[in-house]
Amino acid sequence: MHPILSDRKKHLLYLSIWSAVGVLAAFLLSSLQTIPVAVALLAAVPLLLIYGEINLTSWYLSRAFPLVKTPIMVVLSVAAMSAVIVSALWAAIGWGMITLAADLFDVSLSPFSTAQSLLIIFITGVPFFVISLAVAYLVSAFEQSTESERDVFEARLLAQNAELKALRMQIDPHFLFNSLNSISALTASDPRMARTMTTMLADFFRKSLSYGAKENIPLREELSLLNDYLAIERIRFGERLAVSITAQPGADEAAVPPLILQPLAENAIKHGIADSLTGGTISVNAQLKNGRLFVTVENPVDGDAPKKKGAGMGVEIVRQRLRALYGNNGDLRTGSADGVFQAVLFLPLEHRS
Amino acid sequence: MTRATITAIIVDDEMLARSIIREYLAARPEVTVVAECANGFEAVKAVAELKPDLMFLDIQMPKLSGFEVIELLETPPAVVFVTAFDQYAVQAFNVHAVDYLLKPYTQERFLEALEHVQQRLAAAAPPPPVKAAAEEAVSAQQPLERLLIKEGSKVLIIPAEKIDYIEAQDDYIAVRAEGKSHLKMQRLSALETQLDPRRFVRIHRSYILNIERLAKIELYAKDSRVAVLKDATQLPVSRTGYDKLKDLL
Repeated sequence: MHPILSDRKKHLLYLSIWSAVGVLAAFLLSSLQTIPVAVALLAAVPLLLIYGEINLTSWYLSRAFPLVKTPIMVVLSVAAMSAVIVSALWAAIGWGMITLAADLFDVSLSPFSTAQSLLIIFITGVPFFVISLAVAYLVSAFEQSTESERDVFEARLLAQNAELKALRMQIDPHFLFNSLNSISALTASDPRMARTMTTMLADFFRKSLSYGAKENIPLREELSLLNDYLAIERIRFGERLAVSITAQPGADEAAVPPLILQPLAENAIKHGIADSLTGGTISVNAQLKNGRLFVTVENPVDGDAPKKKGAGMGVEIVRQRLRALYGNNGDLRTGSADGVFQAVLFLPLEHRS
Repeated sequence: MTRATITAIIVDDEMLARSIIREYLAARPEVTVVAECANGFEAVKAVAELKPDLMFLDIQMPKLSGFEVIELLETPPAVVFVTAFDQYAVQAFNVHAVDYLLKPYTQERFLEALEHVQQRLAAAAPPPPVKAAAEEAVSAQQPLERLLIKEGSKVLIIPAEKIDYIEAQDDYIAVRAEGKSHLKMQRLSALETQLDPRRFVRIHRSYILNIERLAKIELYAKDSRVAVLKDATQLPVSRTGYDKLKDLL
């Protein structure tokens, strides 16, 4: 977008400056050439207005030959050539207008003074155009720097959106539906328990919202959130679910992305407990090794379990998040052996800043 | 208006989910709960033995899904699905489920479902043809990864890769796997469309073969061949069957 042409007010202001210059030039002309002021005004003001408009093209030149991409010699020769061409064009228009004005007002001009005027027009035209080109370069440089700043900002916003989307998908909505159904059942049979479960659910969601808003949290908080989640599921599944959460001393202070373990725990529930007649133990263990944090989530698997749609989505999201955050230094490995499914997550050992 | 007595079973792997149905049913003394089942195996057994009029059925359960339970039943009772997942509603409609309750649900909504059940039962229509649709619903996640076979009140789960071959026998199919034959009431052509075509080939009007069991093909008369399996079993191969095998091998 042209910075002046795109704005009517700016354009008017720009033209009024050129008119003022035109008025000055007219007085100068009339005193030099013994032409009536009115005639001089009529010739000079439109002439300079036209030149003002012509100078606006310097913007397009600055865009076509951006400083960063064009060799300086090319820029200089383009500037020189365009200044000469533009000024010559201007002088030609000027000649036409002077002749027209002289005819209209019946003023006789000496060929010599006409040539002199044209030369003056041409000579003033060159630096004017060079200056306007310089200004155009300055303006585009400024615009480009704000543009690149905006690009950086937009990229950051996109990344944040992706992260937010990932976070929103951390908690399976069916967990909420099933929990509410359990509460609904407990309302009649065990109102006290129904109330406890309601509070647990509220606490879990409140915590997950506040942790989710942070860039990272200590593993201790992540594990306590996991414990809250599994405690709610324990009400739903009863004896089918046992939980063991352990961490090597020091490991629980390591910084982790919030809710990174949640999809793994949901996976363990879905495939290890919900699909099994007898259920089993979900165990979570955190270790420090060679400057890295390793978290292992294990659950029993039933070979006869029906296949489910969307299985593996949660695991894939965790993997993507780890890779986006840590590159080659963070990943998730999964595998199963002897009726136990294991997910091992690792990431570089960092502490919350 | 007097209502006929209705016998019902409740199938859900979660105790609390079963208890809420029992509680809501207290308002309808004409409905008697004859069994509560925590998984699909129990449900198949209970329906066979107790022949209830109505089944409240969860979908995602250990071992067998709700749709697999219906597929295994010879004459399924009226079914009300009770689940937290809304994505199975279309399949539930296809198996002629009477209603589809989304957890959690109110007692009003539950009694409305029961009303629909009573209308369905009073209409005394012939049992809805849900079995075929249930097979379809199960194999919606094509190809079929496991075959369910009911033997008496026992349910067998045979993973597709363990099947050697399948033979048509009148209205039944005989599934040969791990040295044993299992009968199932299904048509060979229906099963053929559900199995993974890269692994299973209809080599003859009466046979589907798992090509991983194939050792060699022998010509024993003009246009007549036999497939020799790795365990030396011989199966006839028709001409079109031979063409299909050639394409695949």
